[in-house]
Amino acid sequence: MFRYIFRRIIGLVPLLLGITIITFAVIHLAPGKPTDMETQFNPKVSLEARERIAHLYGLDKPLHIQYKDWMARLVRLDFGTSFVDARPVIDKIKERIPITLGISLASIILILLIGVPIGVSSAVRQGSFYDRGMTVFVFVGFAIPTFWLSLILMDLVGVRWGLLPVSGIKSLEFEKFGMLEKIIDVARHLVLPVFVSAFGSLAGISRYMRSNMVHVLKQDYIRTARAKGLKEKDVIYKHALRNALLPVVTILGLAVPGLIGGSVIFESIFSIPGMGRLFYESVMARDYPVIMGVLVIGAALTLLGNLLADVSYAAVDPRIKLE
Amino acid sequence: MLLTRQSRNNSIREMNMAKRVKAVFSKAAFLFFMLVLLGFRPDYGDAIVVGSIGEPRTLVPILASDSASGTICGMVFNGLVKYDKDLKLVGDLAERWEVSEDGLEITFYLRKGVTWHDGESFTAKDVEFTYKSLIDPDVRTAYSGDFKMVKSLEVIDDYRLKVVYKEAFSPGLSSWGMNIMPEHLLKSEDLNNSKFARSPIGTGQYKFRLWKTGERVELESNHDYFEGRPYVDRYIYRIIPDQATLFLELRAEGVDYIGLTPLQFTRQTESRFFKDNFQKFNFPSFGYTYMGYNLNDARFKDLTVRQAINYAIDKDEIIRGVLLGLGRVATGPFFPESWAYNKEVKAAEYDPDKARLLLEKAGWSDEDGDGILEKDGAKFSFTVVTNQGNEQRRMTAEIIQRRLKEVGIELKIKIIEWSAFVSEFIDKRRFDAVLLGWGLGQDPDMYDIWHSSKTKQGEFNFVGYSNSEVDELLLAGRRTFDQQARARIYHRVHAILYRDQPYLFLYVPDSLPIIHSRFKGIEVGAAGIGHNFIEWHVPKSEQKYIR
Repeated sequence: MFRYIFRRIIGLVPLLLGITIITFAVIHLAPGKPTDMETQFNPKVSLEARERIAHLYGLDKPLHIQYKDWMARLVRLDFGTSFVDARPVIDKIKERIPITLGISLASIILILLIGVPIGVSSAVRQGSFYDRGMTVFVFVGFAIPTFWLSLILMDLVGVRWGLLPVSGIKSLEFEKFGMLEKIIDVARHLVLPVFVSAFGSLAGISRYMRSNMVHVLKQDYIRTARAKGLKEKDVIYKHALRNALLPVVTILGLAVPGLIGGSVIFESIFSIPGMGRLFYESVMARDYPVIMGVLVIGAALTLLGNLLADVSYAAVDPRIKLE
Repeated sequence: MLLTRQSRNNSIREMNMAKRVKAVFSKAAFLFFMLVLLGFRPDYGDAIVVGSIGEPRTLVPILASDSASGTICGMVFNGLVKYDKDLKLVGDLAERWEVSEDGLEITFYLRKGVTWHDGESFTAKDVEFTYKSLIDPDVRTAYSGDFKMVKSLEVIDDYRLKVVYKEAFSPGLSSWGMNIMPEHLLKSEDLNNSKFARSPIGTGQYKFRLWKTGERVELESNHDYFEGRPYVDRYIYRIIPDQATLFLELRAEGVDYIGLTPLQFTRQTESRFFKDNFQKFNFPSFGYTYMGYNLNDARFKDLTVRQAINYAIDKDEIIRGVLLGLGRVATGPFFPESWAYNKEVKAAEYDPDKARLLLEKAGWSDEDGDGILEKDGAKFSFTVVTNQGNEQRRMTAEIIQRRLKEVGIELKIKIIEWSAFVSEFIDKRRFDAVLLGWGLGQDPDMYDIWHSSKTKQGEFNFVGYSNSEVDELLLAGRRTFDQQARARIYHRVHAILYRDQPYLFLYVPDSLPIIHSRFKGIEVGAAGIGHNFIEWHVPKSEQKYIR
């Protein structure tokens, strides 16, 4: 088992290296330069000044030298400093991860808490009015554009009814609040974003759950369980559910990079300072060090997430042995 | 626009009245005036929450080149000079200045008793330090250009300094509006990577308090400000990256001050709620939108063709359709309220028949009857490129497209993401025409945009305009300090540019700020609002954010 994990991790190194080379090349080959944005179109900014700035960023060197410099820093776990505000990339990422991670975890938990029961109950009542109703419900969530739903909810709940704050994650007076007030304040700000992001993802988990469950319920061992005279509740929750949950582990493993990836649209609409916005703003500003930093961390997490899914498969499914 | 005019008429009326009153009851009037002055003192307190799409990048003023950073730096720092509400250059940190006969030397006399927010005194050393940083090749500043013209800067004593120019350079004076940085805090710092960028110390009306990335920047009033303590205690700059959310926050009174779009201004803020709780303003913004031709293209080399297009496009229609009437026709590159603007230049009337006539004169005719003109077998069809994310430009291009079709010219529209647009199309001159806007500074010097030498890759005369008279006038404008003499020069530049039509000048959009009505004392000047920010105040009974 440990040998397997060790071998897999060694195998990740060249993969990661390849990913960095390709992304580095793609980003630098994309038209536009960091200095375009910094200087916008300001007649007071002379050509010479822009060339000087490009030189100070090291952008006048050949691409492979720039990559070498970047890699030399990366192996020392130094992601460099942002072109936009000269802060260390790692600091910029660090201050945003907790926010995005928090919201993602909250919404994943919400998705599991609602999605799994929907899937199971739909499978048990396959083809019924309830099953169809739920299908419509989760697909409505899947199909509604996030930005539209967000704006409608903000207008209704935030502006018209005045129940919840419209956007942001903290009130302006946050620093003066007591501990309890702070927690309530953040929770109030998170209700809408977490709801919106969970609503859109219910379809995935619940449909997965439903089809797994439908499949499992047809298995011989379920008939055996029923034949033994077990209560229907025990059949479903003890025998069927456990087996139907297995593929969900894969989905969760693949969700790991998404946990810190965040979403541009919804972070922008709710003005949440998360990873999605950081990445988007960096791309628009051609802030190469930050783009690379976010991508490398994202790539590493995707690879680790896959590994984690494989390993946890072995842990939950006794038929699988890792060699 | 309306407000500006109104306030001006009012002030003229007031002046006349004051004269009459003075003649008859001069003493009584003076006493009455003093009483009003003593009796009315606005209340201190409250906070203003400004909503913004963009986040500042850095608060080192000489590195800041985006508008959000500029806004915050403008609150925290001062320059030596500034523009007042009538766009006149006045002293800020400098009390006054003298320009030598030959225009080569400027002597600044600095204000005494000004302190940095940490209590240190402001002196000429700080100015010298800021200048040295601006010309330091290792500092990533974008503003070195104007300061390259300086031969030397000499500190005479703590409150006097002399700037010597290589040649007379009148725009240099306004370049000293650059925010001055504290030497004592920064002399041993690497400006590119300084902590100062997120915790600045200035001399300005507001002191920096905190910056929560992606959320807000907070400032507090400087009680020792040399023009007096601002009445509003806190200035909170909230970052809300989505225009729709920004508006919902305004509706929920989560922000007090934002810029509106024309649609929001005319349609969405006309309700009872907004009338009761907010005040709206409109005045021309510092910028204009134009369609620039590639003057190296044979079709656009012909002045007759460019003039024909000017007659073919109805600018008022564009202003009505795109800006919902909130703008004015541009006839040249100068700010409409500026002394450099030539009021004699009249916009050409929309006249498609004249356009057709001119095109015919230029040798274009529809030979195959398909509705599109040809010359030497080639159709008159061209592409206008503009940047993504600017709906106003897209709509403008569509209106131009329709009007050009009516005179037999086919226009294609291409929309490209900004950075790629600049590097692949503008810099490489790969365009027939571009639809863009210029943001303008207060000084009318436009050497970098119109001089025929500024056509290298990455320079701003990308349309390739060349007119020897304009070249000379632009140089003369840089050498002349007297405002009236300069005005004559730029009036001529304005007239020539409109005649030559290197750009199809389109419109100057209005700035459309909306501010919560609890803020009183807001005054509209030629340059808009904000010049008297320290006098804005909220009566105690209406204050919202109380500590």
